[in-house]
Amino acid sequence: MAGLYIHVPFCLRKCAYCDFYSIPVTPTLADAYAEALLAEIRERSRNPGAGIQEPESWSQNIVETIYFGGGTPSLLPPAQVGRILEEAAKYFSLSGDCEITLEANPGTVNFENLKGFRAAGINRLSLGAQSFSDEELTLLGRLHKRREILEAVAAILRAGLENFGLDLIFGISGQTSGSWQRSLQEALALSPSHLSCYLLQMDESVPLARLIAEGSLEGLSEDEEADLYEVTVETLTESSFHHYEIANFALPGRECRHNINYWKQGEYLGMGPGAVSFIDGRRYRNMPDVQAYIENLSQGDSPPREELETMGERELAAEALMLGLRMTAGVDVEKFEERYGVSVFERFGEAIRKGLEDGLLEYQKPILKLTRKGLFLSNSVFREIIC
Amino acid sequence: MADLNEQNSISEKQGLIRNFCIIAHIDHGKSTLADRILEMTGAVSEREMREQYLDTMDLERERGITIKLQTVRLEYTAGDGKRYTLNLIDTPGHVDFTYEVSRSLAACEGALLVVDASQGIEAQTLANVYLAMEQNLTIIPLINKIDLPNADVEAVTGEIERVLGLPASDVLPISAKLGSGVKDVLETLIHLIPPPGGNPDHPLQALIFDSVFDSYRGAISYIRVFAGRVKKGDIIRMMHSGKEFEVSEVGVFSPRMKSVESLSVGEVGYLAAGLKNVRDTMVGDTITLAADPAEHPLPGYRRVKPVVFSGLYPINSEEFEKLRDALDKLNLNDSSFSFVPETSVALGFGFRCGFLGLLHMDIFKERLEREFGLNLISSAPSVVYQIHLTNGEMLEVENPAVWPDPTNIEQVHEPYVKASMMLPEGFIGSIMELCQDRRGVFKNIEHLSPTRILVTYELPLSEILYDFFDTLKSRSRGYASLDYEVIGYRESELEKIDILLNGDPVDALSFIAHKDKAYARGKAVVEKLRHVIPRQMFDVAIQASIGNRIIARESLKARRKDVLAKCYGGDITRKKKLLEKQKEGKKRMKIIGRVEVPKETFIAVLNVEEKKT
Repeated sequence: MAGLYIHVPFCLRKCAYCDFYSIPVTPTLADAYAEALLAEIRERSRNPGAGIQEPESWSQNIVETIYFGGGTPSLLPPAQVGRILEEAAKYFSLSGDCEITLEANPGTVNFENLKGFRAAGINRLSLGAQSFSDEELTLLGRLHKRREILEAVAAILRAGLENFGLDLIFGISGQTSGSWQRSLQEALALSPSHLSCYLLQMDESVPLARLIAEGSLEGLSEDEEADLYEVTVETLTESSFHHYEIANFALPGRECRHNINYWKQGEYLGMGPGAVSFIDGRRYRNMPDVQAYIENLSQGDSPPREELETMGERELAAEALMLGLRMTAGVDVEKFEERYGVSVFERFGEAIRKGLEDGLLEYQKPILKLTRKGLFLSNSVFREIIC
Repeated sequence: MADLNEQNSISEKQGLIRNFCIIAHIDHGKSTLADRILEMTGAVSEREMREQYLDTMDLERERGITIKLQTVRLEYTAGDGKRYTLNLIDTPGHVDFTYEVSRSLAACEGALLVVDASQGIEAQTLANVYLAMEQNLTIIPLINKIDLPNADVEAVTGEIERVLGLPASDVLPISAKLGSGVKDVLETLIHLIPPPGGNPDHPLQALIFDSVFDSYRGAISYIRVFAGRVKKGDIIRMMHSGKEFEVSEVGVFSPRMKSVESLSVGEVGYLAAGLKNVRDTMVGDTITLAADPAEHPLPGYRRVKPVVFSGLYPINSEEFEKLRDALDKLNLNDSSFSFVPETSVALGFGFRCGFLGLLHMDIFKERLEREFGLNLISSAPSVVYQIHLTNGEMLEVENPAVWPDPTNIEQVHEPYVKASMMLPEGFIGSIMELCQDRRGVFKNIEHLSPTRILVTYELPLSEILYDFFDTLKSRSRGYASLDYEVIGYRESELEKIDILLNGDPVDALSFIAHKDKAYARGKAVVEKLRHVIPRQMFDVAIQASIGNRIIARESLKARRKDVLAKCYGGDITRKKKLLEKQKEGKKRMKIIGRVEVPKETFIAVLNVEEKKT
């Protein structure tokens, strides 16, 4: 199986905690971008290995998921999303039940465009709610308020996109177990099928991180953050959500297949400026430069790309174990050995021994997985695994 | 050193030599004056010139201080039309390097004393002037930085006259930065500093005042010839060690090493004899000729013993041999430190190293890490304690880890220093308070000028080891200066405090404290450690104990968060790099038992503010 990732690098405004690539959007730019993306779809269908090598693996691939990430993909006109999906269907073999997700921000969606997205083929929506506290939303530099989230969800449901998820952030200055629990309850009340709850982790260069570094704002302590995580896991599992990855929760059967493909080290093609592809053990990305992207593709050239890493058998196996352990289902060590030709206990014996000893890992033949305590301490296991 | 009685008989060449050094407090402009003299005598072309020319180490330039002795030979045509040979021996200017200063002084007949026109005389200046006076050097006082708006030449001249007893009429006002007055300095030094004495026909006596290691020529001795002459091919004998070598090269510093036919009486230069072993060119030894040896070695040379000891350990135990090699190499250039192998339960194999002071130790560690790429842990510095045991034996203990069982101790003695502090009168209260807190015994107070005083205290060396100087500076808003000398041992009531991590004593963290302060120190150290040691995967109890008695305890809670919140297709590579970076950081930690401890921990023990109890 494989996934397609489409990066939409447009935002109305940059959030105070975000260091992803995005630029302000204009209608002309959005159109030019969509044209270029169509061109890249055609290019990549012929040339998934970006010209460096022709991966044999890719030709067997059936695309089972498509994900419009950003940026703010909901800023794209639905008609453009439709053209992109049509082109993708034309040039790739999509599975019949292909999961097609669009990331959206409150304030950029309404019944009209949501109806349009659904008509275009979008069958899953991921809404960047982040918080239900207006104060916290202001601090995060978000453009929307709690009210816009409620309006957005109402419109989503009315448009028939009942498979929708909410993104939430915890670990915001001033947040307490109580206030976070209220945010979670409010999220649950909107009956999403999926919840991603991310600990706020910022690059030191972003405005919010600087405020904390210079002491104008107090960040949360490690213990406070860990308490919030515990509240998250407890609250959501009690509400029948399946805690399937460190930060991800879903109603059974509604887990995000696109992301699971990443954690299972499946292949994916990333298109659009800044998007990363992983094919045949090689990871590379389109340069995050919208202008160059549009220019090159409009002239029939490939967009500028850079290689991020080419992994050998060792690195692939290490990465696979690390990614696999992020999922609460853990790693089936027998299947792992079949796929990578190496026993996890032989290759990563020391890391596993330590993890078991510290109560971060548990092993029940044939499944090796992080304990509940280990999920929020997983880096100490991962550091020992990566090479 | 110059034998004045022989001055009439010296050769014309000898009569045109002047050997001098520059004495100054840090920042008073010694290096700048040296730069100007180098330029003025054409020793360094404008193209080659750079600031602090003689300070060749990166560390010296960064810190603006001189660590390693440098010498340079200059040619200067004076007002009288004669061409003189000037040997300038640069001196370090920090309290730790009294030893190096004494070596350079021993090779000179005169000294330029540089005093900052706005700062006046500092404690360090005074100490070095006294050293120079002991050596009978001719001292020429210079008041530098007269171009600065807050310069007060008159007041500083008065200080020089009153405090040092040097006549006001001899004082030369200069600006080394602008070069003004520097020509007068050169003329005056030729006029006032006597040429070197000594007889060229007597048996060779050459003082080794420094050495440097050269990978091609081996250990090179910096020498001052006091009698006779030495040339290539001579068989020389080191008078203290008795070893003999054949001279492969002699030369002068111009300022780069340049070989010459011979070095004769009065001259300063270098000598190479294929020495592979540091110990063969002991600084302070006298070189003579094997065939016609001098009767006695040169007198008056004092070998300074290290006073501060610290254990140095490689974080990666495989680097032990590399550390040994590095210590051997540095020992070639700096014979003032000592090192012997030692073993620590906590830190593994390392070396107990002795230094002249804390700056010396700091610089040394930094050089080991920078120049040899070593990653080191150092244990808390310690002085040498003399322990009289009940069985009548006396032990010298420089490592708290090997402190004997208290029941076997009759008496403990610790080194004391006489500390001289100069400061504006207004700060006297807070400085005396500091000295009392550090178990000081007040000795004397003296007015240097209506507003400046000299305070003398006797203090345990251990009490001024770490942050005394910094505290002194901050309590006097930077105005106080300090000099100290070790004056001997005194009985003290001292106790060893052990630090335990999860119940296991960590030998490298043990320290010695006075009985009255032991409890407070133990508490402060344990609290400090709780902040220095990062949280682990399990709870860690940090305790301080005296014998079996726990005197303080803190608990370090287990880590609860160590996670990447997000990890999706677009940033897997980046996240892996982040983990790798963290992994590298972990390698800089020492694992004691199962506790990962950052290397700063071991120094942290000394660097605590005691809570008043």
